[in-house]
Amino acid sequence: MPPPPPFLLPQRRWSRVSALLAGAGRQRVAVAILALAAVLVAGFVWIRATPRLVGPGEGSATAAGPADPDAGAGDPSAGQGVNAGSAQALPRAAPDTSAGSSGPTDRVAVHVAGHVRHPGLVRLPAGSRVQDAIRAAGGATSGADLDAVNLARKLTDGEQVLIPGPGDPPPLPPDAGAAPGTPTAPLDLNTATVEQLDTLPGVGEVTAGRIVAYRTAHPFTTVDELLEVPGIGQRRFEQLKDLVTVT
Amino acid sequence: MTRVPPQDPAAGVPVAGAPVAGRSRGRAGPPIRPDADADPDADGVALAATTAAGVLLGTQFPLGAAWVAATLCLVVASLGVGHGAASPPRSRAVAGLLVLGTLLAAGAAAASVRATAVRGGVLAARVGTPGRVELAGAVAEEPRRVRYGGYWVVLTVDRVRLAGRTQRTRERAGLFLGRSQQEMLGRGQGQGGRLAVGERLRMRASLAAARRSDPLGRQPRVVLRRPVIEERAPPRGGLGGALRGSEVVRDAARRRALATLAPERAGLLAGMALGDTSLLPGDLERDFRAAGLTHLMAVSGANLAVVLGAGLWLAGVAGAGRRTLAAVGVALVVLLVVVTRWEPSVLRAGVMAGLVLFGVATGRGPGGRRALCLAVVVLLLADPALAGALGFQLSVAATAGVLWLGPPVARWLPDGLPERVGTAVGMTLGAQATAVPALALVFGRVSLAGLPANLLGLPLAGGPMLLGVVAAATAPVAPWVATLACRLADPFLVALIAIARWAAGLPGGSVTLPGPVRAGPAVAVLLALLVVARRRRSPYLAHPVDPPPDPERTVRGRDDHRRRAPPGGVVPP
Repeated sequence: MPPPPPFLLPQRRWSRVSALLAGAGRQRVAVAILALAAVLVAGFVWIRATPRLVGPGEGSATAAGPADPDAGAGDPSAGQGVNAGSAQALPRAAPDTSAGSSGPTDRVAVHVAGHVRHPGLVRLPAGSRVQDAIRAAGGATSGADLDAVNLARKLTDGEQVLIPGPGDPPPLPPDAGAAPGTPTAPLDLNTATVEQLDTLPGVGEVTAGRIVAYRTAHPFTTVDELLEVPGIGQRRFEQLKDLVTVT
Repeated sequence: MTRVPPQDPAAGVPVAGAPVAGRSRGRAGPPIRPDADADPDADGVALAATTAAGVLLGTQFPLGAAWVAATLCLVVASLGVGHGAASPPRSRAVAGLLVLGTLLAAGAAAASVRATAVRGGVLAARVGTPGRVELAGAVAEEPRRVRYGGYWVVLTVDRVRLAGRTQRTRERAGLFLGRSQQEMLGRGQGQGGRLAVGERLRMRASLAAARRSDPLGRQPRVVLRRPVIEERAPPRGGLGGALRGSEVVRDAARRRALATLAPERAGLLAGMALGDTSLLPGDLERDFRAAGLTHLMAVSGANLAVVLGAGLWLAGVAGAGRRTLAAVGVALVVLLVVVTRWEPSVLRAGVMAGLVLFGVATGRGPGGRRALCLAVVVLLLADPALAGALGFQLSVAATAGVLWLGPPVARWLPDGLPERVGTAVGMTLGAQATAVPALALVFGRVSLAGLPANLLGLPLAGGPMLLGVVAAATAPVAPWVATLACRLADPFLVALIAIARWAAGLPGGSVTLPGPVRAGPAVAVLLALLVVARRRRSPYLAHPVDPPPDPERTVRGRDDHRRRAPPGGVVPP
């Protein structure tokens, strides 16, 4: 290489720069490998970070996703795969029933009584309706008064579904006659009145009003949205979560 | 620190100090006049600084694909340019500049791709929309204790369920676990609900934007508020086994320390050996902070130096060869990095030690200063987000202080001091000279008590660091050894606590600087360095005028110190 013209840059300057960069120049193969590795790692990070739907095949293999009962609506196999996978891969560390009742992976057990063909305990997938419970109990008898029951209500674990006959008195509202300890149909957060909410433990008139104000702004989709209501903290939520529901 | 053999790799005193100084001499080509800036490791500094600049650039201008393309072009160009000892200085300079350009582009590519991924996260996009989100993820780093008995937990979220569809993602999100949530976690658990790194959580929560976050996502952009935790599961995957194993070690060590020592000393020991500060009482933590001894109560590069020094000394006594020594060293580094949960400072020290150990094994490798520079390059390219981690910045600053300022400072000390004491004092002062300005810039606080506290405390710190690691290693298998180690560490801990309390109580021990004055210490140190550099053209080179290169001597000196480097022996000056 010919020396650079003196008017362009004096040679001394280059020698000083090259002295400074001598090591850098010698390490260029290592630096090239490092740079390529950095680009590869960055690409890998990017691919993993890019959000995408969990496909049907990988649901059970990857597991541990949020359980997914409703994914079945679009693609039954995907939903079931994820459910089965997460139920196996994530054994419940804390054997508390509260997590179980709010966990969407579970099945519910309900006691269907009254005017059905085969009264007794039936087990159904979570999210089933009263209609499904009646069907599982062999169907309503001809004398059943199905208008007195809300067939569309979602079932909760451990409740009793009583199908009245024509002569039976109408079922009492849950807050009135329920003996303490018996699971009754929980309050629906989206439809309960202020007075009904008022009966919940730890919920006064003010909090009930706030719950109603919250749901007029954005209707509840899950029970734990109660935590978003001002005045309901973690402890109160723990008391409430089994007593309310969202349909 | 007196326990650290001064040539220890991770403490960073240049193992290859002597040959490094000779490096620029033996080269063919025009004789290079040693300028004021002719630090023989200037090219290493240039590499590290360029990478850091690239990361900043990529964070500011995240043009992902463009940076990647630039990197690839520059790699090809820099490999294609001719370069050798015989080539003219101009082409050598071009090759060097191309290499620097490659690093700049690679740092920018890594950072910009990361920044784009962080901004494009599912959770980040969802912030501000009311409603609850169901998600699953793994605990990403050691939960940090915060006020009111709560913990700040950072999760790497990998599944998000929104509108009935599960999405796979990978982004960090933080959550505050108050007492009641911890009770929820602890139900039915043996160990009181303490969350360990790698444990998986499934929960529902609402999303909010974090008050402080960084564009590369080390501090999460998203906070999970009012979490309802539904499941907790042990770590899984390839790393899961290592995480579970190290958690067993950490847990056993914690229990052993608590069972043997008074609570505050147990907390300090757990902090010094494992980086687990959760047992430290709040007032003691404040005192350590005020005394400028924060780096002692958590793990740092010094931990690795002490453990590595002791381990290699043992191996050397047992008669291990160079390669065995290197293998033992690497194994120790990996174990310590996993058990201390890859704190940025331990990562820095680990990569540095790895590079130096590579040199020990092959007889050819970087010295301490160069190892620091290369460690910065490697770590920033692998995880650009580290650039924003305070622990990493402080660790690099302090190590640079030890390596560049330590030796000259030690030379200025009065001659009567024993050499080891002089080295230790030089290292301490060098580290303080860079760490104090850095801390002042970030927090605006200067701990004037830090100097005496560190001079007194550092020599004592090696004991508990080493004994704590011994206790942790033996706690699960031989509890009595661990108990013994804890008892041996006790006097050191008592002394350290006394020093911290005394220094924190000094009048004017800690000064808070307002606004722009924060830069004061940094400016002062820079000015002092400039003045010194002006007075003596090069404080690093003993002989400003090159003696004729003496290959025989250089080679012998190099071999000699390499053979003896880790286990004992003193580097010939």
